Amino acid sequence: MAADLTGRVLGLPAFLETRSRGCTLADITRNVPGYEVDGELTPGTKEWEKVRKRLQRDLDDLEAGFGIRVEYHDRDYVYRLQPAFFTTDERLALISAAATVEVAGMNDEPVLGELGAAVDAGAQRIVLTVPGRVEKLCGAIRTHTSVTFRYNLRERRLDPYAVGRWKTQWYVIGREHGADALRKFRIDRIEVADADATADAIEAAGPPGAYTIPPEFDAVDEMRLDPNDWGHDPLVTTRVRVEIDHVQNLQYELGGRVVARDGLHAVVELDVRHYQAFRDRLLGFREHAQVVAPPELVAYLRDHLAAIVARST
Amino acid sequence: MPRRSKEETFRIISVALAIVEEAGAVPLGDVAARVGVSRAVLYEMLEPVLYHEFATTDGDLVSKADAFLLDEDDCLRVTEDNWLRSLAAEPPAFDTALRLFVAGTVYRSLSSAASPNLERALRKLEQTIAADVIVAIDSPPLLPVVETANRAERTLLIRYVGDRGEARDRTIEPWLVFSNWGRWYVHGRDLADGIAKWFRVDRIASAELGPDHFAPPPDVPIPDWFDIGGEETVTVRLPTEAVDTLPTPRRIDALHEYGDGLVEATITVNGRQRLERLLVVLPADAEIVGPVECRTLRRDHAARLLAKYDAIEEQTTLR
Repeated sequence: MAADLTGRVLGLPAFLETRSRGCTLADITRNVPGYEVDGELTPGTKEWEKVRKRLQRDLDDLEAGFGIRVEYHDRDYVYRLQPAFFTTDERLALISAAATVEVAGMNDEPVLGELGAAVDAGAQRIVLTVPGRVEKLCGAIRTHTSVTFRYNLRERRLDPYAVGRWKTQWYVIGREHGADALRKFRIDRIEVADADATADAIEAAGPPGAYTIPPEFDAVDEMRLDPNDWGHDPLVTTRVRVEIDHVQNLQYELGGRVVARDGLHAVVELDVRHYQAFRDRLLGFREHAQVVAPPELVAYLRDHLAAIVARST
Repeated sequence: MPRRSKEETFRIISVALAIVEEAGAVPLGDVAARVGVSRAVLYEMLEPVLYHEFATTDGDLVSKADAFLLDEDDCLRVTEDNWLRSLAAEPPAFDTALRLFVAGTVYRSLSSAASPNLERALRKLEQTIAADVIVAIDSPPLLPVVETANRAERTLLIRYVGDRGEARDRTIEPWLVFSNWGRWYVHGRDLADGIAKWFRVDRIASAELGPDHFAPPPDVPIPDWFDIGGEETVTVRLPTEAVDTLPTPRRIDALHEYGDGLVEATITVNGRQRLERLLVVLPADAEIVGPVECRTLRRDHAARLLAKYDAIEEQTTLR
């Protein structure tokens, strides 16, 4: 019985797929196993109505069980398959991506049957964490719902426009109420206001549709989070002397190009638009890299270090 | 045995076919276990799908019998197309769409070749999510060499810069190449001492394929965390806005308002090198509250770095 039902229900999309213009109820009774009737089916008769209702139940089951949608077109009296959401190739491309990249940290675990949920996790070689907070902010952006959270010990109310990841961290960008410019917040630094660590750090504030994202907002542009891209200090072309073993890493962290090299050192030239961020990142290279030009940036580094030494002496 | 509803039956069929599409050939018994029924029950459910074929009154054959196969080893596989999934009109749920979008975007950012199918799929997911999500993953310049060695199971000659900034030549067997926490790592045996170690790919100063082949161990999982120990904690008083620019990785254990735009932050980092870096990156007027030895550590490290600048200046002056 169950097999008959499955066969009958699955016969519908298999048959409809061969009839791109759609088919009538009579076509279905003539061609799909399980819908046979004696003689011709006449519209408006009891038999016609009985078959029509059974077909509708099966179509509902088909949609609920397999996501396959068939619609009845009143004007033409035909049933038609609705277009697939993904093509086969698109779906396979996403399965390949899911087989390589594990997306961890989201509130909802993937459920078997969902696209990408059954890939071999042992073969995934990239793990990227999407914290539940990111998921929540995406939901707020989707519905244009303002959110509140605590950041640097202050309550904030934000109309979130976009979320993005730079280096190892996630950020949200949006319009903070009471501020006249777009603001970026590091999502992991959003504080849990309540002593209860399980409390939501981000709360919806107000109804959906509370704001509109300006058409000129460019998420990709605004999410250029490298301080050397968005910094407001006067642009200077800088030279860094770096030990040869650290050149790769310095260029990976700061960019730039090698303009001179000997057996022990290289000189990397790069543009700097954010002096403090540049200084802090350069100091991560310890004794292995020093800025050598321009003089004002050398002085900036030296003065900072000298101030620390003087203060601690 | 309770009678299953048709909804439940369809769900099981749909999930079973999704499993074999995504995981390849899977023994029918294993699929059955994953969907929570016996092999016999699953087989009975799948029978109309596996052999789905009928003739129309025009004599045309409607056949989906080649789509799936239960082979002689009792493994279920998709041989042509999971046609039921291919006809699905429903977009994925929001959380699934977000997960797939992130995975697809990262995958695209690492692929050298363009994939129009992936592009189209991502555009559709973008509309489902209806939120701008910008995500990419950096790949260090030497990653391709490391990956080539891993795939070819060839040894890799690297010059590697350790935590202290000193570089050493090593020959390793790159068993596993992976990315986590925004960084790329290679895990494998260091032939000098035979010990399996973790290396950050961005710290490899040079790399080339070695002459020897190796056989990697069967299962090398991606670790959940590197337990490198050596946590160092310091409490500092600094301007509120400076908290945003503290270097990572680090953990803020406590943050208290101190007044006059200052906060007192208790910060933990891994290892002495990261602590030294943190201390010199703090604003010069930041106050080290404790432990007091961090004040000396800060001064000494700053003095060492300053001395390098003095030395450069001296060399320049002498010339």
